[in-house]
Amino acid sequence: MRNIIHLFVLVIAVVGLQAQNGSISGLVFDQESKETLIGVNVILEGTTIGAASDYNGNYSIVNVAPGTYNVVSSYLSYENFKIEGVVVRAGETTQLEIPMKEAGGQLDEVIVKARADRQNENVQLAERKKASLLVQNVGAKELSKKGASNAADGLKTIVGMSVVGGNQVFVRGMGDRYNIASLNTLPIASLDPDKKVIPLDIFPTDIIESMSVIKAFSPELYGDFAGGMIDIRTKRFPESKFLKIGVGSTFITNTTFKDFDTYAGTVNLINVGNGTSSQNWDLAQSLFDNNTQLPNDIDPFTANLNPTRTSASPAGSFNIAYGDLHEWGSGKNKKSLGVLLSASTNNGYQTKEGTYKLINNQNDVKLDYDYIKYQQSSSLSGLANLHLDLGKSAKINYNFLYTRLLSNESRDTWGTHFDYSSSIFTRRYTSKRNELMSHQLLGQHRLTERFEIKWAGSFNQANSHEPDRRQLVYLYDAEDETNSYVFNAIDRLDNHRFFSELQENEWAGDISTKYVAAGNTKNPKVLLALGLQAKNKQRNFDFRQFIYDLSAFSSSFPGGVDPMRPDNYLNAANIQDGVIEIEEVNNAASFHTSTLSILAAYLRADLKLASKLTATLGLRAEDGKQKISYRDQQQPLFERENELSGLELLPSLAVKWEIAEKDQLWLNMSKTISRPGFKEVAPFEFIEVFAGVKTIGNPDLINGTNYNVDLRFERFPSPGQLISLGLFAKYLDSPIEQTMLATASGRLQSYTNAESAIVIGAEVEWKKKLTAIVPDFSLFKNLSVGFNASYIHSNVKVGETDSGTNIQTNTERALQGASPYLVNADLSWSKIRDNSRSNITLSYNVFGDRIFAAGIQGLGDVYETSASTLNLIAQHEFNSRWGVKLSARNLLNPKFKYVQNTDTEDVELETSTRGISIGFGISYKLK
Amino acid sequence: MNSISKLSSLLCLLALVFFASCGDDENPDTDPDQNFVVEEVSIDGNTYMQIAGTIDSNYTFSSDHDWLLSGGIFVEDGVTLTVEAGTNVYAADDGTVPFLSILQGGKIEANGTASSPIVFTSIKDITGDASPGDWGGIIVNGYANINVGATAEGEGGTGTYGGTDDEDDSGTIRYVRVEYAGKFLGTDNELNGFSFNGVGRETTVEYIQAYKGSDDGIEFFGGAVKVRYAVSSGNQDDSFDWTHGWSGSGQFWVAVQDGSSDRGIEGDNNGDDNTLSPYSEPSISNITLIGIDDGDGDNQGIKLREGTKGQIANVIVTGFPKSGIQVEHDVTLANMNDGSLRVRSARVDTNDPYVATNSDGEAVNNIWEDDDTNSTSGSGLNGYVGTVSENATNPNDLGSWFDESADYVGAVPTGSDWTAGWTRAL
Repeated sequence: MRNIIHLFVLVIAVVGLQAQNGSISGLVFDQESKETLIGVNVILEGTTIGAASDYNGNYSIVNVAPGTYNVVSSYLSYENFKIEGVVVRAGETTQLEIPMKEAGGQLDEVIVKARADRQNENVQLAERKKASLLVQNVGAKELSKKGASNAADGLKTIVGMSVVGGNQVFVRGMGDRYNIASLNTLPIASLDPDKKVIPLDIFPTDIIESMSVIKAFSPELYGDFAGGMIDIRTKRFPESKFLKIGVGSTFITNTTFKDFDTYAGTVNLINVGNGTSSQNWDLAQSLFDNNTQLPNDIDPFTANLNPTRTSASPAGSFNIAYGDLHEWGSGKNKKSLGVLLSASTNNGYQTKEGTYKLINNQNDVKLDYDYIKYQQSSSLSGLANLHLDLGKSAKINYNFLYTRLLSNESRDTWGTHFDYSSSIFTRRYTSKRNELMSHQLLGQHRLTERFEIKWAGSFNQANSHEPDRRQLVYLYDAEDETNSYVFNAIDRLDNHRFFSELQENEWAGDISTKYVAAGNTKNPKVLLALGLQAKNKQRNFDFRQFIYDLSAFSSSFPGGVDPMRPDNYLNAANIQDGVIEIEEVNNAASFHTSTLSILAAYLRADLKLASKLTATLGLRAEDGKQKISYRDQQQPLFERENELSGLELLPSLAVKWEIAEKDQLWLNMSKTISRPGFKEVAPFEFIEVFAGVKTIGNPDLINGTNYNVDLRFERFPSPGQLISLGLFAKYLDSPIEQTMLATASGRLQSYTNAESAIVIGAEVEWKKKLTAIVPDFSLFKNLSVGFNASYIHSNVKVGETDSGTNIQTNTERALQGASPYLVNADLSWSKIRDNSRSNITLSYNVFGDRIFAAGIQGLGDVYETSASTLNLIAQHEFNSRWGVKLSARNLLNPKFKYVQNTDTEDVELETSTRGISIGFGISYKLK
Repeated sequence: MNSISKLSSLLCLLALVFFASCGDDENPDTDPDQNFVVEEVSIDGNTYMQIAGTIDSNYTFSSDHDWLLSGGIFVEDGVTLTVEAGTNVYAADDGTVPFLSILQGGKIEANGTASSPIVFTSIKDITGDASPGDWGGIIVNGYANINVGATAEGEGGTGTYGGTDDEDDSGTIRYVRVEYAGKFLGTDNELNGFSFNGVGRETTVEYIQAYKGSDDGIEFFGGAVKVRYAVSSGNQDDSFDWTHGWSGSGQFWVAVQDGSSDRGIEGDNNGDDNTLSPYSEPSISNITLIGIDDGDGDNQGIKLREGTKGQIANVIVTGFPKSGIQVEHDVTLANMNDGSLRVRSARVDTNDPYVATNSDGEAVNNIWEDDDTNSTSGSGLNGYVGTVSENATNPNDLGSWFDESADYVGAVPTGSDWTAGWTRAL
């Protein structure tokens, strides 16, 4: 607390030290056409002070310390323009016109172009307008304004996007299977053995420059999508040298300074831990390295089952970034090397309280629990970007990213279970370490005026470890708890420890060429692109599971046990005495290896049919081969293999009609595919997470085929403003759908090719500066509003299944996870004074009721009901060096609910709340 | 199509730049010989015929060998596995989960005799330290009716079962002992001593014992199979268990608990929907259930719930600390009140001998308490041997299949101990 007071004192002191500064303003225009240019970045060389030009081409750089500067301007497909020796005097405005020169022969390409500040909202819109793909995007500044803490959180602000379970992104109601994620346009490995797309909460916003969602297929994209391709672009080298340091802290109403359970040896703020005690980590490693059978007369875990009850600290964050740009040569021979290095860490605590129920078709409550979850998460990331610009002949870019997310959860559950007359208390401790390391090398060479070649290669490795999940289940007497706790010895798997590890390596390569076949290079009539792409991934997964056999225990401790001190009982001495036994659950199916190889070639022709009408014809041939090698649990002697391969031809057509200067209309039609996941085709029974739903693959699955149509109107009235209206329709032929099979006991999930599904909907986006509405009303002068909404209708027909009996109640329903509506709205006030900039943004997000799970045996589907998020973020930069940020997130603190529709009523199965979080951050930047 | 294959070849060629191989699309596991392996192995100086895999043509476990099962053994549709009288079959201790599963349409012919029973047990019974849960037990899958769906998947990937043929015949199991079974394969996947999954009534099952399993002793998942002379001893969960529409019959059943254990009988219809049909509706006569207080105070003699129906007669319940006979859930209570679920001629001398609980967990009246044929008197047993003739029901009242001479309460009459010679004592 004292530290926070110190910070305030420091901030006030800094505010008092402001000196009187000057400013620079003027017009930016094209040298030849004299047209004004919008969204041009104008920056004082060697500083980070700058501004972007507005719709009229005007820029204004305020709060400039008196002195002499070099002014550098940069813009997409224009050469950088530098004016040297610009003098700024105290209290005066220096007028400076900037004539930009179009880069000779530069192709209309946005993907790898280096200079524009993509963190800026205006630039995001400018890029979108010029893009050769149907794209929607969000930059770092908007993410910061809206209080997004990671990529998953930030994607919600884009129209039609929703996030389920904190990290699974849905595009237009379509889940994991229908999406692809990429990092700087190259594929990323996944961390989740059940998922195609990496859990996107692993990318903290600190490393993100911008994110875009491409919802319509284009031949240079991998064809395995129907929802969208999510591209995360990491931050890049700056215009000039800087060093920036930031710290922050967050307070959560229902968590901070309250009771918080954890276990010994967990992560700390400095974030060097492995997420569990080093001893257990070593054990987990050796379990998988040596695959040793543990001796059954010792305690290999040295108990380590006692929870530690502490008080939750406020969350803390720290980040540091350094960047520089070295330039040499001049004019046409100018060359440069840009560098960015950044690192950040965040440590947070969150308590969630809620209730959980399970009912049957008679509305009898089978399980009725209360729970509390103590969640601790800790992220660490490092980013490096090197950019070598040798002029037109070669530009080479290297990106390195390491990011790690540790999450620990101690969960207490208590209540009644239909099969027990006593009450049940469960304490489970889960620890997970996810990490991703990525290397990317990208190059671009202009061989002739008309011919350009680009290449890219990446290697990335994803690791997901769960070292030592621990669960103990107790029976107790709810009427008189004292001394009534005993271990549940009947369900033998209840008391257990679980270890798992996943490693995925993915290589990708990409070579593309572009050739201007007709017309001039500035305004090509026929632009041909030919490319080859390949990726190869290998995934290894293994788990080991141990149970405490306590069948002989209860007679040894008839007086009950203390659930805060299980180490007193489940220890080495009692193992030696034979009171308890540790037994491994042997499962040959725990280990499996999967590979996926894709090789693709594509041809794309951009044809200028008229001066404002461009048609893009594309054809992609994609040869995919996926294989899984495993042994099943029933007959582990025999090594099995399952393979699915095939060549797919994927045509696409896009038409872009620039109706007027500010208006454009897109039409896009394409065919794409959906491949089944590795294990979805493997006929063995499997559980990925302990106590999760058993899953058995279906070897008869085939690729689903998707037919997509998109129509969108976009108007860009002025910088930072937008109106768009889109309609889309998809027909999915033989989509792969989850089924639930009839079983002797428990749940068994499988997959089938359903008959068909349709997804249709509409999207609207609106960004507006309120000045434009009521020009004379001064209150509106600094206000802007944003709004986007989507309507999604989906319907899938499951029909007859080809294996097993599907016991899902509804054979026709909406897609799981698809909300019928999604709405984002924000109101933002910003003001630039002589020395300072301020922004206050209130942002709101709401999703409509969505299916969480399909109901079975006559019970209705389970819905996650609509919930709203309201964030208020205030940022202030006192001057070019000091900045502060205050955030209040989840102000409405809604109750998150899962509801099951039965014949007679809607039953609330699960409810939880998260509390309001209040955060404060401060940053210092050194030029 | 030709142009596509040319393109494919071209891509393949390009693929060689990136990847090692191309075009080997054959599935290597289709070699049928690889699915069944028999080899002679030696353990502690004894020789065993060790088998692993799926039996796809008629096969015999002859009594001149000791047999060893490694992993799950499946008997395919149309195939008969014969087990000769007196044969010992062991479950290997090799990190696998051995079990024997007769798939739908397959048959087992295990014809033991009182003097030469067939024994399925853990190899650790020979090598030392055998314990409950050493292996998975015997699973029989048939085509008879179930109420979870047209067909269902068995516990632990042990086969598909269910259909519409209640007359289905899966063979014969006679004088067969299964010991130390009940191994778990994962959550909700604990195998039993004997699992009868949708087994039809033409199947012959008599003189069977489930001994020291870690889950249920004998469990019925739907089906119509009839079982007589059955002993469930020292099993750690329920001694007998039915669910999902079992409509068969039973006579002469004995349960003896030992150490950690749960219910004598657990009878269910369907937990997800108590009213699904066909209902579990068995007829059972001549039962002796002997419980134990294993420390949690939770053991019950008979629990009838989740909508089961059925006729139970001539039953002795003793030694269970929690309660004797409990009826639970509103649908089951309605069955009790309209007589489609009935217990008569019962002698229950436990705490709370006759209880009933509605779906909200509130105690309600159990009408059997007022049935004159039921009592709370003891039965003067010697172990599980002993019967009482007072207030007995003629078993023929439950159907013509029943041995009507057993006009007494209890399973094993003094002086006529049908368990002698072939069962294993606790």
